[in-house]
Amino acid sequence: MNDIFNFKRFGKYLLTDIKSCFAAYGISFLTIILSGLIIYAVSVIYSLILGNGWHGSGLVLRWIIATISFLVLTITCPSRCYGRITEKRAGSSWLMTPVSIYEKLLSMFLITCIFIPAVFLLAYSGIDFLICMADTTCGEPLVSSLRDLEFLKDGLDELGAGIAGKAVNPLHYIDDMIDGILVFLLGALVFGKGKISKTILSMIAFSIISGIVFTPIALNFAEYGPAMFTDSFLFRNLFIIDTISDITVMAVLIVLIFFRTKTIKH
Amino acid sequence: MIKINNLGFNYGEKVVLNNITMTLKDGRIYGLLGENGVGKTTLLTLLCGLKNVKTGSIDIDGYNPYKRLPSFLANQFYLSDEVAEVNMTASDYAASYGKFWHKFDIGKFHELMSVFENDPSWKMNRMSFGQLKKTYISFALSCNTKYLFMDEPTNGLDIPSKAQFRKAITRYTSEDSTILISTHQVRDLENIIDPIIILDKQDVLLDATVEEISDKLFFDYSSERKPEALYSEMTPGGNIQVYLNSEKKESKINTEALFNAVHAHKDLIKSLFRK
Repeated sequence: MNDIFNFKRFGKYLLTDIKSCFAAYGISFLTIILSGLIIYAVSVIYSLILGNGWHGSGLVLRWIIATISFLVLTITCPSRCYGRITEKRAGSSWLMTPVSIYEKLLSMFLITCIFIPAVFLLAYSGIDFLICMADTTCGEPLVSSLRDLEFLKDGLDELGAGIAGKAVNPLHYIDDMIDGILVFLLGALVFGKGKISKTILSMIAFSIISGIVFTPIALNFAEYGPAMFTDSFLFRNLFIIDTISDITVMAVLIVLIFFRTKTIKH
Repeated sequence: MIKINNLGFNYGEKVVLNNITMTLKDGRIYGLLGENGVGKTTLLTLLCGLKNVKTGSIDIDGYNPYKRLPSFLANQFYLSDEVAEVNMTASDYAASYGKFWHKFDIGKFHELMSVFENDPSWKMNRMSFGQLKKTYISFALSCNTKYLFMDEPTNGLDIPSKAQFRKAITRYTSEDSTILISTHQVRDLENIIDPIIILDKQDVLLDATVEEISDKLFFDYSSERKPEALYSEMTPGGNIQVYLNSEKKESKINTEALFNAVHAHKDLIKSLFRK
């Protein structure tokens, strides 16, 4: 038996893990996916009650709800799907399943960072698209409104360095999204109780510490004025540096998650 | 074969197991007895790899359990005292997870569920504690593993279920399986455990087969009180006394009386059974 990685066993485990994740998180996940529809229904009902006639939720409100829903998904999904690992009752079963730690980790990563967000984005934007097709009072669907972000380009182009195109591309933020999910996944595996609140508090503490460390550096840049900043190597390669730093953070988080799961004891 | 060599484990300052050495042979149903807090659960979790030893070593067929390698895990099952409620039917759970144990038999799972009068179509998070425990016992036995570690398996089971459990253990485990059952409820398992291990604080007081015990100790159920008894107790059905079997007479072991006799005469029993 291959103790490191077996593709057949991994395939079986991934399917079982998806099933188990949906068993633990399915209802909440469905509610988050349907939040746009729920808000739409509430908007219409309020509009009718207030005598404004039939009026669905507008584009801005739908963007706010979509963002909040995604944020809730990012925060809750890891702890609901894998938080049980730190509990003696359910965690022992997870640890004792005859699958290698690498297979368990890859499955965990694919489900929380790729599969669930992808299903959410597709389902949420699909429902939003159908609502907007059926009810023109809502305005344009979220997906097609993405091109409106182009207006941001003008402001950014003034700064130069041709960063505007990348800044308005949603795909650019995938690594940030994965980092966010991994932070909450690590929190779910490290903390026994209050997984989400303790993760948020840890992030605040980390931000304060890094703020103290990096503020002098930022002030140093400020002394040279904005032109010096926008002409700098750092600014010209902002997106490459950002991507590299995001990938580095991702790698560090994956390593921490690996050591945490490998050394969990019950 | 399980080889435990100079095993030591502590929770911070509190030493639980100290310098434990023993060998668990294949094909036996070991009963692990001991007072609260002596380290029965700790020993089981060390054996299955849920904890790492602080000193000494555990060797199970050449594996270090704590590495939790799939090839090792596929040969063992650990049934903890507390079992998880899962939002799945028992049948779904067994079909989903059983496939990772290469000898898992879904037919056997359904048969065992029927022995326990449990319905596999019930959702596990809607079962009572006893029903859930019986589901996990059925799953554990259906995995057909070489090593089976069970922590207080009869806790939460009603009287008929305890009889069903004994039946399941004797009928549905293979002869080469090594089963280690930790329990406080010795009467539930009296007739199926052999050998018997009695743990004390940081020590093993007894590790002997039923044959060895009845060879060295006599369990007297007569009403005649004997002053040389190591332990005596009045029971509703008469007396039970334990004394040294100097006349090599045959008797049926009473595990509870054995446990109390061992605790009352620790040094004597240790020297008597020293191998």
